[in-house]
Order: sequence, then structure tokens, then C-alpha cells
Amino acid sequence: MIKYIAQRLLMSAVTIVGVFVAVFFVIRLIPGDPALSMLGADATDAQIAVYREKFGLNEPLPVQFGLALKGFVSGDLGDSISLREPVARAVASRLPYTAELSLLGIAIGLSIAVALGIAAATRRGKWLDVALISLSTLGMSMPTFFVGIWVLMIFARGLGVIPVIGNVAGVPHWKSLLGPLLTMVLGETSMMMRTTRSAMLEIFDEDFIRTARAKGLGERAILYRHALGNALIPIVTIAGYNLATAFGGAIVLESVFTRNGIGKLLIDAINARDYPLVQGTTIVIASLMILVNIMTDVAYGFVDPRIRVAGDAG
Amino acid sequence: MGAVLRNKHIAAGGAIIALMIAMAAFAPLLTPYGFGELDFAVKNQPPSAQHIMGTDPYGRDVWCRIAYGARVSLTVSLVAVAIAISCGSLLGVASGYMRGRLDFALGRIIDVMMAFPAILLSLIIGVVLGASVRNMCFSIGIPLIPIFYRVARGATLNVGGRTYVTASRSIGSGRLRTMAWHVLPNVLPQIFVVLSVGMGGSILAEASLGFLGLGIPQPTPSWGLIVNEGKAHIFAAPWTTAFSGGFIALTVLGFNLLGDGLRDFLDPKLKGAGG
Repeated sequence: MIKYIAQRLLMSAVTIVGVFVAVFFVIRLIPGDPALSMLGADATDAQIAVYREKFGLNEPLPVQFGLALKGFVSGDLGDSISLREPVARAVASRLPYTAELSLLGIAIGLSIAVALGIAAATRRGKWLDVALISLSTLGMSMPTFFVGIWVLMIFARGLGVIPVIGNVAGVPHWKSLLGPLLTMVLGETSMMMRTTRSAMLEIFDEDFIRTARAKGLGERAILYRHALGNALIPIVTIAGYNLATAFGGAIVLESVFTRNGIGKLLIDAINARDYPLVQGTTIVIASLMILVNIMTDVAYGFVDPRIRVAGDAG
Repeated sequence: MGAVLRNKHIAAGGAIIALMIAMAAFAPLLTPYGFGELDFAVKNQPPSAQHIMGTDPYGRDVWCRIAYGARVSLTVSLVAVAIAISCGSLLGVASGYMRGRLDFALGRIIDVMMAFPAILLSLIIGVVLGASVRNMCFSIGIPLIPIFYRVARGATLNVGGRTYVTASRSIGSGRLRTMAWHVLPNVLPQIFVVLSVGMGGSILAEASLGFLGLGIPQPTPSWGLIVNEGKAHIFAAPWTTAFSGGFIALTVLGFNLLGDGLRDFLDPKLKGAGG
């Protein structure tokens, strides 16, 4: 198991370095003087000179890259122009909002999805199954912003139970979480439910289910121990994938509900042409995605002993 | 063909998509106004006999803009998917067939691309390229490359060891010829299934980028732009967002149904399994 995790960590470290290289060079493709684009249009000549010296912009590109990498490794992502604070601090102060929403959204969505997925699979072809499949197809086709706007219209404007604008002073924190959370759960449940359902259906056809039934095991034990236990791999995969992409989806969700997470931070940074902040936020979001993928891989090892053994042997 | 249409998903999805294409193609015949026609006397009007889907903050007919917007949104999505398919399947087939160093190197590049949520990658590419219809095709298309790469590579690994591929090599065909004539055609059906899902994803991406205000710029009406313009007046004139969002959801639904149906059709073993 340890060897397996070590392998995954090594591969992920390579990917994170790749992400850093990609973002470093892509940001430099933006037309214009990097010092000017990094400092903003109202920078003075003296400021530009200091910046060029600090980040070695007068040096050849490989040296510049080395300096940036050194900063990255030591946790220095540069300074934000629009916020006038270090990028690392800005991201760190916004990250809890995004993490809280994503983790809660996936946890609640997954619980509902597994319950509904099992219900649909055990009633294959019946009206409940057809209804759930149709609803999930519809759910998967709805743009996040569209669902979010309706949630705002109904619960903020219509019923007045949630605030129209997210985390502002005077609004209890949990109240500002309700709108985005509901939108996220509505969106995330669909695909996880379909995965649970099809994974369960596939397991129902296996010989060991017939064996379990033949030896007189109760339906509950068959369903939860034998079937669900073996269907966990695809369910963990989709949950991990959804959690990873939730950090990206937060960009839209946080914009709809004016929630101060890293997604909204990124959009504000793009609109303000604050390139150090764009660069830093992008790297952090991509690293989070890689981290979630490692966690998913590790979860496989716990869920399925065969993977654990194969990983150590290989 | 009859058998294809008997699949309910394909029939329903296909019908929705056909309707959307017809709406885009015949937009001038279906709409009584021009998409840019301003009339401040009727701004933010609810749906009525004159304006069946109401008017936007500039007094423009919402139905008109949606019909013309379909042209831009569908074309951009199609071009984006074409970019993703051509790059993704060529690289995927090459990777799966050649194996070795090329496969390893391409695999790491794809890993890096997949470390970004698609919408984030689109945003960054958009920032670097600048906003225009043409650049939007790349912003949406490039993040889709890994999906097609992985499908093409997987299918190639499966096909690569077949007798007809070995036979082609043994009668003296070069690698390139073998890949183009024997591997690629047998990989295409699987790519075909992903195409439909890719189209749905592209429509969603264009709309989401538009919503964020980082989509196709004025004056070309795209669905994303219409959504964005409606956003500021969401409480005073919700119909702009409701109708444009509705058309976007319906189109994505059409592509998803079509994709589901095609998968069932090409792989009957999975029929009804969904997921």
C-alpha cells in the first residue's frame, strides 16, 4: 500500500511541475511587456525597473523560470496587483469558502445519489427507475448558472429565505451557504446516481450474487455487503472526479451567488488583468485537482484489496 | 437506418438537434425583427403577441436573438469539437500504436491538461488569445482534446494487436499507412459516441463563459452573450435568462440523449444500464 501511494505521489509531483511549467509559459504568451502586465497600466518606470530586477525579467527565460520555480517551491506566488497583498495569502483566505462548499456539496450529493441509485437499480424498468433516469438526464443537461439563477429567484427573491448576495456582513454564514449548496447538490447528484445504478446493475449479474442468494442470504445483506461493496470502485471514481471538478465548477457557482471563494477570486483577477493572481489561483486550483485525484487513488486501495495487493507487487 | 431510429434516445435527441439546426438555418424566416434592432420604447417587456419571448434591456426581441444566437453557438461548438477530435484522435492513435517514448511523453502532457478543470483551461486560453468568435473555438476545443485522446488511445491499444493490423505491416505497409488505413477507421466508431457528449459540453462551456462575461464579445449574439446580458436584469426581466437558458438546456439534453442512444446502439451489452 505504501509503495502504491508513493508511486502515485511521484507521478503527481511530475504533473504539478508540468502544471507550473505550462502556466508559467502560457501567462508569458499574453501580448505585451510582462512587467507592465504584472504591475498594471499605472506602474511608474521606477516600479517597472524594480519589478524587472526582482523577478529577473532582464535575465534569459530559463533563469526567469528558475527564479519563479524557487518562489513556487517556497510558497511564494508573487504579489497581487489589484488586492495589494501576496497571492498566497489571498488564495489561502478564500480557499476555505470553496473547500467547504465543494466538500459538503459532494458529500450530500453522494449520499442522495447512492440511495437513489440503489433504489433505481433494484426496481429496474419500473416507474421509479424510469423517472429517476429521466430526471438525471435532465439534471445533467442543466447549466450550473441556470439552476443557480432559479434557486436565487425562488429562494432569495420569492421566498426570501436565503440572501441574494453571498457572504456579506450581517448574514449568518450557514444561510449564505444554502443557495450554492442546493444548486451544487442538484447538479452533482445526477451523474453519481446514474453511476451507482449502472454499477449495481452490473454486479447483480455476477455469479457471486447468485451464490449469495443460493446459500440463503437475506436481500439486505446481498444488497449492501455483496453488491454495494463491489460497486464502490466506480462510485468512488465518479465522486472523486466530481470533487476535483467542483473546484473548477466553483468559478460559475461563486459568481452566481457572489461568494468569496477562489473561483470568484480568479474571475475578479481576470477582469482586473491581475496576472500574478490569475497565475497563482490557476496553479492552486490545478494542484487541488491533482491532490483529490491522489486521494481517489488511495481510496481505491482501501475499497478494493485487490488493487492494494497489485500495487505492492508491481 | 430504421434500426437506428427505433432507438428512442437517438430519435428524441436527433429530433431536438434537428430542430435547433433548422432554427439556426432559417432564423431570418422565423423571426420578425433583426437581432440587433434596438427599440428603447419596449425595453424589458414581458412576453407578448409582438415579442413572444419578451424584450431585453435594449428593447431587442429575445426570440430573435436566441434564433440567431443558435447559429453562433452551434457553429462554435462544432468547430471546437472538430479541433478536439482531430488533435485528440490523431495523437491518441499515434500514442496507442507507437507506444514507447512518444506514448509516455504525450501521456504526461495530457495529464497536465487534465489537471485543469475544463472551464479554467478555457478561461486561461481565452485570456491569452483574446476574445473573438474564432478564439472561442480554441478556448472550448483545446480542453476537450484529452477526452478524445484517451478514447482514441484506448481503442487503438485494443485494435493494434488484431490480425489485420499485423497483416498490413507484414505486407510492407509503413506505420503511418497502417495507422491511417487500418487503425483509425476502426477507432472512429468509439470516437463518434463521445462526439455527441463533446458537443453538449461545448454548448455548456460557451454558455458558462458567456455568463461569466468572458465569452464571445458584442455584437454577435451567442447564447452565452444573451445569458450574460439578461443577468444584470434577472429580477426585472427574467424571461431573457429563462428562455435562453431553456434553449441551452434543451440543446444539451438533445446531445446527451443522442450520445446515450449511440452508446447503447454500438454496444448493446450496456443497453439500459445508463451511467
